Amino acid sequence: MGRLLLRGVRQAQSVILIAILLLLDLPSLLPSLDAYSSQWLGWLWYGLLVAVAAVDAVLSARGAFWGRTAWPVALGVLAVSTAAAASLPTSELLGPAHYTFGVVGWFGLVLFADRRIRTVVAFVLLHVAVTAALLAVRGVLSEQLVTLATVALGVSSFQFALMAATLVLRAIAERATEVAVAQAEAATQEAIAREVHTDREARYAALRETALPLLRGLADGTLSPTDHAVQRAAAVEAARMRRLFSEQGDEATLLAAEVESLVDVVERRGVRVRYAARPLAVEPPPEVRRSLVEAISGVLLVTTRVARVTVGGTGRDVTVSVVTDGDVGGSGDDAPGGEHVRTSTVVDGGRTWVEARWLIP
Amino acid sequence: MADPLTGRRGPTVVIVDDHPAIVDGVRAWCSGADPPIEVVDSGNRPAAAFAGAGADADVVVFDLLYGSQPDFSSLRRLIQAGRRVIVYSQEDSADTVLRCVELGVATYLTKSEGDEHLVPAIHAIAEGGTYTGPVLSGILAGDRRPGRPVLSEREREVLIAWFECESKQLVARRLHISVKTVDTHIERVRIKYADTGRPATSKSALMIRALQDGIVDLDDFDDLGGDG
Repeated sequence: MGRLLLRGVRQAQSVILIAILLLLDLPSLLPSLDAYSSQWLGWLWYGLLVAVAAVDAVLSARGAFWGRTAWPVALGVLAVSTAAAASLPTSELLGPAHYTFGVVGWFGLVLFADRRIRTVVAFVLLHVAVTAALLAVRGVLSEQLVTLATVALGVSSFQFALMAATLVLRAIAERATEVAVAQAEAATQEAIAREVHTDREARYAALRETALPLLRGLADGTLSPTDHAVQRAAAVEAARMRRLFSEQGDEATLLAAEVESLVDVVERRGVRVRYAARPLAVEPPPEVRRSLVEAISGVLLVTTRVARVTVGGTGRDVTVSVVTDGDVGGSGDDAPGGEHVRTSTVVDGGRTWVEARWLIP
Repeated sequence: MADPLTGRRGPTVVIVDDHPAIVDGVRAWCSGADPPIEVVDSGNRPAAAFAGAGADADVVVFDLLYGSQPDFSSLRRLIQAGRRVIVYSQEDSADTVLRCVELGVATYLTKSEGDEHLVPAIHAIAEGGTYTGPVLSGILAGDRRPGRPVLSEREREVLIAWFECESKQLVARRLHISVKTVDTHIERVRIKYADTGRPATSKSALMIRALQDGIVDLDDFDDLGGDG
């Protein structure tokens, strides 16, 4: 927003310059062309100034500044103004024919639009000094000094007024930018926090549905800790809680990270796991990720000796897979499928292979 | 090395690896193989495969990494010299593996894949065949680069299944096909990869072998569109 404001100021300055050249200076030039030592010289100086203003208009429209070319061009403008004055008779100096005296300051404004105000002031003073030197050469400085000062002050006060306005606008723009950035940052943080919170709430809700009955059953003695099915259910819930607690905002949301945390759980029980993960074409959304992990966690968590665990897929799907060579009791048929996730189980020669596949929509 | 009982001569290999433990491990697997594999030389620089006894070995077992830099130029020189190279490396990034496949390596195994893959790979490749391990299989299945060969749905299914379970019996059981058909699908994929950016020699060798094995017939060559 601040950028837009500054760009607006820059374009306004360019428009003012062109308006002055066309509406103020051209009417001054036309009746006084005869004053120039030759008419084409009058057109030449005017043409050069219009050319610089035109280039500036293009830059301004593109949101660009003169940058390093500002000083050379500024000195060029100064030279044109001085040459124009030099080609006028002494009587016409500081009169309507000497219109360039008034417009040079406006050039200073646009050429040094990205610099400090003191650069523009220095340029304007330099121009007045050069003009004074020309008057001195013509031997009329002392009698014209008051006129020079009056005209210079009259013209420059407009320019300095605009500069002051620019300064104020620039300060407002910077402040506006800061505020806008801060607001965007706050909004993003808030959105992330809300997302994480919703995700956690959903997980806690899922835990309440499954972990609480299990704990209650163990507490009141209706479930036995020695029961194989109870042990398996407890292992599943423990891994779920572990995933829930390990989640760190937007960082640990990767499918592979969740599968690895499951692998950690079983490796600490002494199971030898051969784990391989390939980069995925698409990171699955959270609910799909959960379905994929749940689909393999049941069979993986009851593995007692060796397991092969993979995360991978082609350009069209994402798969997680577990092969175990232990007796997994009840296989993985009851693993929850979830939306868009297909689970397939193969039992062969004492091995059980469960694969969960999500087709990328 | 000739087997004293059957007179069968096992394949010969040279091992290029800068880790002595790996060299000793591979040596032990080779001597325990059936038929035994003779390690004719080993060294920590590629020179071992170019000169001396290693220059005539049937298969080069090549560690791609020296320090942390992959040595693609030695690999390229070996392949240009017509050697059958098994890259055996800890590096498993898809970029590196696919680059080696395009250079024309016979196969790429990672060091997480042990004797159960390296020994059959040496036997198959010494006889002019191919071997595709689970890791390479998973990488080919997930290849998403522009210009990659077009694989059929079934081929991708077989590759990913082999990557997942490391057992061709399980793959066959799950997809209701024979183990031989599993191999055929994997071999077809390798032929498709051979057709993109492989040296013509190894490419035509693969084609001829595929013809002899009945994996492809002459009509297929129009589809493959290669110059082999």
